[in-house]
Amino acid sequence: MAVEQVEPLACGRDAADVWDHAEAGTLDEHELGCPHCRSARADHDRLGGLVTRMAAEPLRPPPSVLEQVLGAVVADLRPHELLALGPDTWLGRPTAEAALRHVVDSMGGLRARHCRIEQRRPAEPGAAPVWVRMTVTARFGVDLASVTARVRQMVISAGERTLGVPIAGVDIHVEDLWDDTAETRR
Amino acid sequence: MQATDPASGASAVPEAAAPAAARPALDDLTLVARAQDGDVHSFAELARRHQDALFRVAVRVLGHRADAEDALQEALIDAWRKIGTFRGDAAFSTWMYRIVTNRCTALMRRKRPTVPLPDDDAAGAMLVAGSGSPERAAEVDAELAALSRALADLPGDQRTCWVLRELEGLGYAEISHITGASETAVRGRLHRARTALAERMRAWR
Amino acid sequence: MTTRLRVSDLSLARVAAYRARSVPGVEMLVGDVAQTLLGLAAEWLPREPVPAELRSQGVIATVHGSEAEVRVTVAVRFGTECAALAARVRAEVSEEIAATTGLVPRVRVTIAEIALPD
Repeated sequence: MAVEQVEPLACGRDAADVWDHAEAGTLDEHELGCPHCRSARADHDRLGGLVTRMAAEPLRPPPSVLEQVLGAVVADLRPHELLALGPDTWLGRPTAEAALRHVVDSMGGLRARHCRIEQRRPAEPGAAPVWVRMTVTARFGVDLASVTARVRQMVISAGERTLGVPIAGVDIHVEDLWDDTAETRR
Repeated sequence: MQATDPASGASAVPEAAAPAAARPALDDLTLVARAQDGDVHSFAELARRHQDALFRVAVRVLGHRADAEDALQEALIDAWRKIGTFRGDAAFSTWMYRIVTNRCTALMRRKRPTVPLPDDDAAGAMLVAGSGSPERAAEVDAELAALSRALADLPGDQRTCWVLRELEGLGYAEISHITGASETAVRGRLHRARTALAERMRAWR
Repeated sequence: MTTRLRVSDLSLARVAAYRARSVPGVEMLVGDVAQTLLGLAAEWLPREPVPAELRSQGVIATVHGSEAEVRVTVAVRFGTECAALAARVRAEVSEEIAATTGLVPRVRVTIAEIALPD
């Protein structure tokens, strides 16, 4: 439905041209006098000063953007794969997630599937709390409620002590169950 | 490490290096060539030079500072990873504008906010994109805030062309390079954007 | 009468790497030969060939006037307290740079790898 051409004004002139001429200060006699052209010029004038003000507004990225990019460059990660541990210190997110999966695996009766650590952009340079979302599978017969609670505790403890980031919350989702005796292990 | 000790009797060796401030700045193409060789510091210098402009575009196109920061980060690392593909047929700044614009377009397609986004950074937060969202204009200028809102309501491709032309001052040819649209299409989108904004601001008074 | 000391990026990197490696808990420094070279500022120092072994040592260093900018990337073993270790590496490398070279250090540390037990 995109109509790319600019419709001509009633006088035959191209409204976009009139606007550009108004912008550049190169309006010709016709454009200055013609009532059709005048409304195009009026639109331009109405916005002119306002646009200049908007263009003049200082907008600077925070230094943390470049910090994170360069941190990712040297560690060969993407910027969103870095977790802030403190001022000028970072931890690779994929490796942190692998570490937490390992924590879960070392508990009896559970296997980790996915682990996702999310950290909000810290307000100042330093560690911001993280959310951990894990999906696990469990052995048949295991008391899911109590084991999930234990896992949550272990993940919080591992996160805060071993990784060194404050944990805002842990979601554990039991995705499937497996049975040791049968060939149901994937 | 090299040390010069005047006490040893040797004539003081004048600093072979010019003090940092007097060193001539390297042009973009030289920095790009070094970055292509893997020199992180040359890349860092390029990023420092261009990040303000790229951030401005991202904020105005996306309407949200935090999104713009993400887009800028991803754009810069994209630039690092594919720096080898830069051939020098366009200016480096054009190449970077294209990367960040593509990131913004992809982000806009993925997120179509129908609920207000939670706004984490109160200080300096820009307008949240999408109608019905609470606005957090850092500036007291209500008229500018109204223009920001009107801008956010434009279709993405019109807004992009408008930002590149009106706020960054780029020419039609360059915008065409950046967006991949023909110059005619760019003119058309720009004109529609200008007209729509003028209409909104007329109604605002 | 002052002694003027001029430190090359390479020397700075060696100082940083040496100290970082000696912090207990640092398993090794992490680098990628293809991706990272020392940022040699050739416009004011003679270009020094970067020895292959230093390229893969996970340190990127640059001297800017009287400041030393260093990035260290390390691998640790599972069980190490990461935040504390990274902070310690940062502090010790900074201390070493200041003491050895007299430059003002800015050190950034990334833990890129937590080695898991087999």
